[in-house]
Amino acid sequence: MSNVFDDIEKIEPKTPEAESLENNITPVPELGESCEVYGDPYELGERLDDEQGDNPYGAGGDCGLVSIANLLTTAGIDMGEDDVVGYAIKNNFCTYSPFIPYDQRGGTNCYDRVNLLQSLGVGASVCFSNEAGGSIESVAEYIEDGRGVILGLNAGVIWDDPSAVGDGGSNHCVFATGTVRDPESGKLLGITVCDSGRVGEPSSSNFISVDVLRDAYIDAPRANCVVTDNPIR
Amino acid sequence: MTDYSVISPRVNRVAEMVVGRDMSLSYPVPALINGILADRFFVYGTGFSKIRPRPFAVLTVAMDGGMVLEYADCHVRDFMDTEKYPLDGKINYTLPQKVSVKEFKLEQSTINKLYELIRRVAFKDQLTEQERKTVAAWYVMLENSVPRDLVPFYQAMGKEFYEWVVKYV
Repeated sequence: MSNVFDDIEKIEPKTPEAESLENNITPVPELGESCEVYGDPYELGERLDDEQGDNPYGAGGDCGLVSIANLLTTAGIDMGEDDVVGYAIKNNFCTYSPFIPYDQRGGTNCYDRVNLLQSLGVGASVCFSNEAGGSIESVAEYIEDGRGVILGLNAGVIWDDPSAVGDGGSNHCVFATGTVRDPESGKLLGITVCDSGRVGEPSSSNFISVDVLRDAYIDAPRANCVVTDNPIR
Repeated sequence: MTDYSVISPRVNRVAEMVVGRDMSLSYPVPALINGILADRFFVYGTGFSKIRPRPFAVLTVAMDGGMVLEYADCHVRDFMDTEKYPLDGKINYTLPQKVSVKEFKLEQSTINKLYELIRRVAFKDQLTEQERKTVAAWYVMLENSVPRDLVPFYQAMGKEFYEWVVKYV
C-alpha cells in the first residue's frame, strides 16, 4: 500500500483548461428539458464508485471515504474504496472498531476528510453551508472551476426517506460531479452527484435540485462542503 | 437572551468538534444550571439502521451568548438510569408516525419555532394562558415527533423542566 501513497505525491492535478471543462447541452432526465450541464457527470459517473460498504474491512458507513476515493479517481489518482478505507483506518481518519455496528464503521466528519486529503498531498478546506463560501452558488462555482467537492448533507432529504432524516443535520456524504443550469438565464437548477449510499441501484450521476439542496444542505445543521484548493480535472 | 436560531448552528458546530464523527443532536430542552438558563441537548449516533446505540452524552449551553457550560459523557456521568438503560444498550429509532420528509421538516421547524418562545418563559412562576398553550403545544408535538424510545431520554435530560411543566402547565 505504501507504493500507492508514494505515487500520489507525484501526481500533478490537471489544469482547469482540461477538456472536461467544456460545457455541453444535454437533457437531464429529472428535468425533461435541455439544460446546460457542466462536468460531463454521466461520463464521469461511469468511472466512479456508487456503492459504499463493499470493502474488506466491513466498514459500511464510509460514504465520506468513498467520496474521497471518487474525488481521487476524478483527479486521476488510482485509489479505490478499499485503499482509502484501509488508509483511513490505519491513520485514524475514521471511526472504526469491529465492535461497533457495520453502518458506523468508516464514518468521517468534515475535518477528517480535509485531514485525510491533505495527508495525501491534496490541499483542501471546509466551508459550512451557513457561511458565505458554503452557499449553493459557491459550491456550483467550485465544481465549475474543476475543484473537487464533497458535500456533507442530509441523506433523508435527498433520498426522500424520513427514516434517514435523523436530527435533520448532515449525516451523509456525496461527491459532486457537475452542475446543471438553465441555458437561457444561466440560473443554477441543481447539481449532479455520485451518491454511494443508494446501495443496489445506479447512483453515480444523480441530480439534486436547488430546492432539495436548500433542505438537505443549506438548512441542515453541520452541513458542509469540503473543497480542494486546486482544480482536479 | 440570544435567539435559539443564532445559537443552534454554533451548538451544532461545537458538538461536532467535541464529539467527533457520526453525531446527531436531540431537540433542546430548557435547563436551569446554578441560576443560569440553558439549552440542553443529548447526543446520539447517526446511522440508518433502526436499532442503534442509545444516546451517549449531554451538552448544555447558556441561553445567553451560547457558551458551552457542560459536556458530559454518559460513561462518566449518565443522565439516564444506567441500570435500566445500559450504556451499551440499543434502542429503536423508528419514528412514531409515518410522515413524508416534507412533513417531518415542517414539524421540526415548528418545534424549533415553539421552542424559541418557550425558552423565554421557562421556569417562570406565572404563565399567561397563551404561554401555557404554547408550552403544551410544544410538549405534545415533541413527544409525537421523536422516536418513542427517545422520550424517556428527553424526560431524564430535562427532569427539572418536565417537573416545571407538570406544575405550571
